[in-house]
Order: sequence, then structure tokens, then C-alpha cells
Amino acid sequence: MTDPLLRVENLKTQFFTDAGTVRAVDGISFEVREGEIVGLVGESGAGKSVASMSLLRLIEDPGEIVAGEITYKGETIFGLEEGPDGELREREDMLSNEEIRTQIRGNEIAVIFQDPMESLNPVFTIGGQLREFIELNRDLPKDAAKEEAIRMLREVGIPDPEQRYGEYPHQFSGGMRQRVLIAMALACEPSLIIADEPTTALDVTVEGQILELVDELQDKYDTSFLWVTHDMGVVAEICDRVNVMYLGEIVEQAPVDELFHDTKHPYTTALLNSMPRPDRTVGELEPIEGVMPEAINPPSGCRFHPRCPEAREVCQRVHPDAREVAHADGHPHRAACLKHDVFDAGYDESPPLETATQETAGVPAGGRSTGGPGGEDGATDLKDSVIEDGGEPTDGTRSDDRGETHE
Amino acid sequence: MEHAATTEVRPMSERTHTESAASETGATEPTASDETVLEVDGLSKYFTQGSGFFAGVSLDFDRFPPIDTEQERVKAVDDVSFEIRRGETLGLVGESGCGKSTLGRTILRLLEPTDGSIYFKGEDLADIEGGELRDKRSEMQMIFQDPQSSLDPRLKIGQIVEEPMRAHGMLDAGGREQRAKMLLEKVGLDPHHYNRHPHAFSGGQRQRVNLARALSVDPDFIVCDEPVSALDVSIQAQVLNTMEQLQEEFGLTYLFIAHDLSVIRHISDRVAVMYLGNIVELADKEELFENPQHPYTEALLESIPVPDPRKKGARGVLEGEVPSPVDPPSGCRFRTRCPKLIAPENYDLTDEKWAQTRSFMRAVKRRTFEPMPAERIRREFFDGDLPRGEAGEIVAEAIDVLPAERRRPDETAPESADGWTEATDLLLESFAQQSICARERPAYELEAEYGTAPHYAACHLHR
Repeated sequence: MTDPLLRVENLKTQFFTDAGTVRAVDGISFEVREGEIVGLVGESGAGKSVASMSLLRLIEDPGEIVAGEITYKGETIFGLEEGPDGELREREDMLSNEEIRTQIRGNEIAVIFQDPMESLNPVFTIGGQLREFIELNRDLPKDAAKEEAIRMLREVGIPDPEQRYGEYPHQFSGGMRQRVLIAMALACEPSLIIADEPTTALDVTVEGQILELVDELQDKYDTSFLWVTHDMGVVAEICDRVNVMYLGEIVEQAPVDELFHDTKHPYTTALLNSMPRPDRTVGELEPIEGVMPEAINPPSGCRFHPRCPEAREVCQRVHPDAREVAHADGHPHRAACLKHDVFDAGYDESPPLETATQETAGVPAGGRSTGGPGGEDGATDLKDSVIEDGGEPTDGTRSDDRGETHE
Repeated sequence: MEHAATTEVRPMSERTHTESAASETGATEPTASDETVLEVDGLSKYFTQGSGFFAGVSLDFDRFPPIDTEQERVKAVDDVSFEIRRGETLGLVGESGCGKSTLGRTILRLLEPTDGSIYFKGEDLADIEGGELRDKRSEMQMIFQDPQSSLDPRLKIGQIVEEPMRAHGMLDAGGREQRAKMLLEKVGLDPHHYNRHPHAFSGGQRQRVNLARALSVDPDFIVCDEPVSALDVSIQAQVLNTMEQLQEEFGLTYLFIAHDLSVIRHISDRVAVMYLGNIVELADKEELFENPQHPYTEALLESIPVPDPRKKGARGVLEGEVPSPVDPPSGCRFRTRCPKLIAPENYDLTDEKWAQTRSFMRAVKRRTFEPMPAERIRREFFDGDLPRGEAGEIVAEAIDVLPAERRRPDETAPESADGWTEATDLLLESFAQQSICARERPAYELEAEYGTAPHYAACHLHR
């Protein structure tokens, strides 16, 4: 198989704050191949945005990429080696900041952000901004750049582009602004576009329009996408392969069909079960218990174990990496869960954990058996999704993330 | 004149609510009770644009005196009628700017209605003022979208939950504290958090505090304005489940406003779809999702990304954007984007030729194609074959006035001179405005396929 367009290996990005080190991205590896749309999904705080910004080295103080290797078309975007005195230092073949700016950003890898209003300058016209971008990156004279800008605006479906070329960002609707950003991202015909929640702020019909547009443009230009989102619906709609992130790690990595229909990680399963569905009526939602802990002090062992319905004693001790548990469609299906044989961690013999019952909400440890909120429905719900409380031998590890999060 | 969704409209004073619904709708709804808690009738809310002393004054030299005090009014909610029965959840769904939040607030009289009536347990809220209205407020509460900004950061959780009780003079201090703690536990929080400040809580927990606060005065009816849209999906499920449990336990009636159709499908008993200030469709949940009868609802449903890669179907792509609510389209408000706009009767058009004419008209209006020779326009839009008769002549005339070549970028011809506007006006006047969709406001009641509740659809396809 040919080399992937982008290869990320064991990437770690940390933020050094007064309260301690936030391990926002903690050793993730993935690839993006040519012409592929790869999803990076997770809830807020999972580290997906930090991961995608690390790829362009757009991490600002107090954040820093501390380990890993990022290779793009054979060029090293980030890489470390051990110096003579055992210190880690940046490798010689790593691109300089200048090279990243002139050769990679925009030309090779472009970004589309969630909020188009923040990415466009409100005091310049849409056309002017697009033209300048094309002029600078493609070395075109002003007239040609303008013509190209208008062509791109029409390409992304902006009506009456000659007229709207001279308008300001506030005169555009949200969907139209997002189209402008897509035009800008495509203007230099990059090989990879990082799309960071590009449709999250949009209405569903507008989102449909944008997804359709992306599909068309991708067919035409064969651009690869890294699609960062929290929306499993969008993932199912456009992605070829998916990486699911939880608390700084990739817990599952699979082609899209396998991810949804042969799910291998309990977190992914729980995420899918907690969603209300547009296509059928779901009787009772099965929420994931508790909230995602802070990346500053992640749980021991598997990071999902305090909320995991399948957690066993071993999950508190052993920290699983994402390993290949199946192979589908020419791609590995990786999951970081000890229940799979490949880990050989003694999961089957390990006693089940009494999952810290409930909940978001910090119901006191003793007070929940009375049924909490609601009537009979509530009570059965608790029994179904949670192993009944009992001895709670492992209370210590879980007390951290039960109850409130301190922000 | 039509009355959306209500099976009957007459002054509420004539009826006592227990008998009314049963006698007239034939007692259809098995799940919710037949008692109507809220009935909205012809409710409108217009906003005047601009503010300041001279905001409403404009100069008009064609008349004397040359001053016009007519204000441009944004018709955020325009002639909306529906009812909600005790114990049911009515989902109100629509895209941003459709007026759903304004409707929710107007119902609670947080905004002054421009026109229409809001009968709450038989009493018209639009008529009462001051203290009387204040008293009513204890029976109606609201939960807002943003759990961050809807809680006062300086107050403790306990104080926040007790505040409405204090305002309505409920209980004594001890009783309020006891009730607040009870409610915190009911919504799934630790009563020991009574003395904490909101910042110590996550988004989902804050929304629970909002729930407890709304429940504190023991309301019958709660308007929930996007209560879970700021939450992550796993937390969202927790809060939704709690809301359902509370509804059952306290016998609450919800008006649940959201843009997320999945959430609406989960929580609602009946669903109303709003577009540009109007309700375009209202039906039982199953009926609305499985058997939608308005093209806008269909487009919405088709646009939702389904979390299943095997269900990748045709992505419903709606053309264009929502028109301005200042000057909404006549007749059906969705007609300017409707993929099923009905052909005007005065031309003899086949379905195929009408579809071509419609898409040509919209392409011209939105200028989505480059200027090109007439021959190519005929080929690309009409397969080289214009519609017959008068319709064909009009189309030919429009093609003639369109520019055949692109202006050079440096050439700045005045906008009106280039023929686009002329062609657009001609086509719109001859076709779009002749359609029944433009001439009459639709309102039809249909037989439901799922369930027995009436299915209201504002679309002339059902005429």
C-alpha cells in the first residue's frame, strides 16, 4: 500500500498550567490517505481540536507538543530525537516555522473552523480577503486572482458571486460564510483539509447543503479531509474511516461501517446508545454514567473504566493501547479495550467492577437506592444500565470523577 | 382565515376545559389527558426594527407631508394557533430565526403579543396585567438554553432554587429550604450541594439546577427552550431522561423547543414544525416523522444526518435561504424554496416542463450560472425544448433579456442594466406569483396514518 498522506504517531500535546499538566492529547496515532475523509470524533474535552491543531503546529503557549511524529508527504512536520546528552531535541529534518508557514499551511493543508465569523475579518470585503489569499499563496497577479476568487465563490454555490464579491462578512448568512471558508480552503488546491466542526453552528438544512458541497468538491479535487466533529450522524454521513477519542486517547479506530455495526469499544457503544435517533423512536435513552474526567488527572488504567458498564477489576490497573482486534475492508479495526483477547490481560477472570452508580449528578453514595428522580421507570432504568450498588470495593479510584467537575 | 391545528376555535369562556376537548375531538388522545392546558389562537408577535427616537420615521418625498411613520416590522410569529393538553409534550422544531423562541416567550408573556390570544387553563393571558399576571407566572415556568448564563454566579444553588418561591411568597424560610433540597434530589443532584455556587457544576448539572428552580413553584406548564442543545450527547441523554421522569412524577406539561429533530422525536408526543413565523405542520410524533405532509418537513427530515452509514440516502438539499421576516412571501411562506411549488393554472404545462421552468426561474433569481448564449440556456435548462404556448413565450423573452456574455471584471455596468433583474421580475411575476402557493395561505387538516390525532399541514398539495 502506498504511503499515507499524513501519518501521526504517538502524538502527545500537553498544556502546562498552574494547576498542573493537562494531557490534552496523550499518544494518538492515525493516518489519512489520499482522497479519504477521516473522522475524529469525541465529546467536548476529548482533545480532538487540540489534536487537529497540533498537525499544523498551531499550539500556543502554555501548550506544547511534547512527543510523537507527524509526517506529511514524506516531510516531517514534527519529530524529536535524542540529543547527545540524552535530551530530546527537534530533529534536523523537521520543517522550520517559516517552512510550515509558506509551504504547508494553506497550500498543502488548509483548515476550516467552526465559527466562520471568527475566521473572516469583518472590516474587509469577502472578495478582497479571498483574492489576497489567492494572490499571496499562488503568486497570481491581482486581476487573475480576482477572477479566480469569483470562480471559487461560484464553485461553492454562492449566488451572484460578482455582486457578493464586494460585500462584507456580516452581509452573509452563516451557511454562506462557511461556503466562503470552504472556497478559501480550496483556493490553493491543498491535498488535505482539516475541518474542525465546520457544520456544528449551522442549521440542519444548511448543514445538508454543506455536506453535499463537500462531497461534490471532494469528488472533483480528490482532497483528503480530517473531519473533527462530535456528531455521529455527520460521521456516518461522510467519513470513510473514523477515530473515536476519549480523554486524549483514540479508543477506537475503524472503517465507518465497522464502527457503527461491529463496534469494539464500550465507549463507542455507549455513545451510540445515548443518542436519540432521527430515524426511529427510541423508548428509553441509555446515558453514559457520569461525566468525562479532567485530562489533568485522568483515571488509572483504562480511562473509561469509571463510566464503563463492562469494566472489570483489571481495567483499573492496566492501561490499554489501541490494538488491532479485527481487520475489515483492507483497514485494521483497532480498539483500546482489555476485553479483547489480543490484550491477554486476564479480563475474563477479573471480577466485574461495581460501576460507580450515577451519575452526573453526584447523588450521594448512599442516597441513590431510593430511586432518585422519577418513578418506577427511573428505578428500572438504573438497574438496567448500572450494576447494582453493593460492596464497592474500589471506591477510591472513582471518587474523583463521581459528582461535580470543578472548573 | 384559518386556524392552525386547533380543531375548533371559539372563546374559551364558553367552555369548561374538562368537557370541551372530550366533546369536540371525540376524545382521541389516549396518552395525554383531554384537558387543554394551553390554547394559542392567532398569536402574532411583530418587532419594530431599529430603536431610538427617529427610528420609526422615514422620509418619503412622493407624498405630503414627506414623512412616513410606518415602521418596518419583523413578523417573528405570525398568526399561530395550537393547543397543548395536560401531561403532554409538544415539540416545537424549526431552524434558527423561524420564531420558535419568540413564540415560547410570547406564550409566557415575557414578550408582549402583538395580536391573538393565549388561553391558559381557560384564561386569556393576553388580557391580564400586573399582579394577576405575576400570580399566573407561578404556574408557568421556563428553562433556557444556556446553563452558563441562566444562573446567577453570585448566588448559591439553594438560593437560586428558592428564589421563585420567595418571589411568590411560598412557604417560610425553613420550608423553602426543605423543598429546595427535596427538589435538588429529585432532579438528580446531591442536596448537600445546596450551599455551592454554580461555577462548581458542569453544564448538565447546571441544567438540572434550572429544572429544580423551575419546579420550585410547582408549575403545571414549562416552556423548555433548547434545554439540552448546549450539552454533550451523553449528558444530554441523562438530562432528557430526568425531564421525562419529572414530567411523570409532577404531571408536567412541556412545550419543548429545539432545533434538533432527534431530540424532538425522542421527547415529544406531538410535534409542530415552524418556518418563518408560521406553523407549517403539526401532528403526532410518529405521524410527523413517518408520514410528513409538508415539503419543508420532508426537507428537514431528509437533511438530518442519520447515525448509520448504511442509511446514506439522498441528502435532501433545500435550495436557497430563508427569506427575510420583514417582508415574508405571500401565501405559503415556504414557496420560494419549495421543491414542489405548484404550477400556475393559467398555463398548460407538463410536470416535466414545469420542473424545468421552476429551476430556471430560481437559477435566474439567484444568478447561479454564468452568462451564456441563449442556445445553451435552452439546452441546459430545458433539454433544448421550451415549454409550449404562453409559458414558452415568457421563458423565451426572459432568456432574451439575459446577458449572453460575462462582463469583463473591470467593466462596471449598473446593476439593472444587465438584464438579470428584468428577467427575474418577468419570471417571478409570470410564474411564481401566479401559483396558488403565492395567492392563498394554505391550511389543511388531513387524516393521520399513524395514531388518531388530526394532522395539520399548511400545503396546497393537499387542496
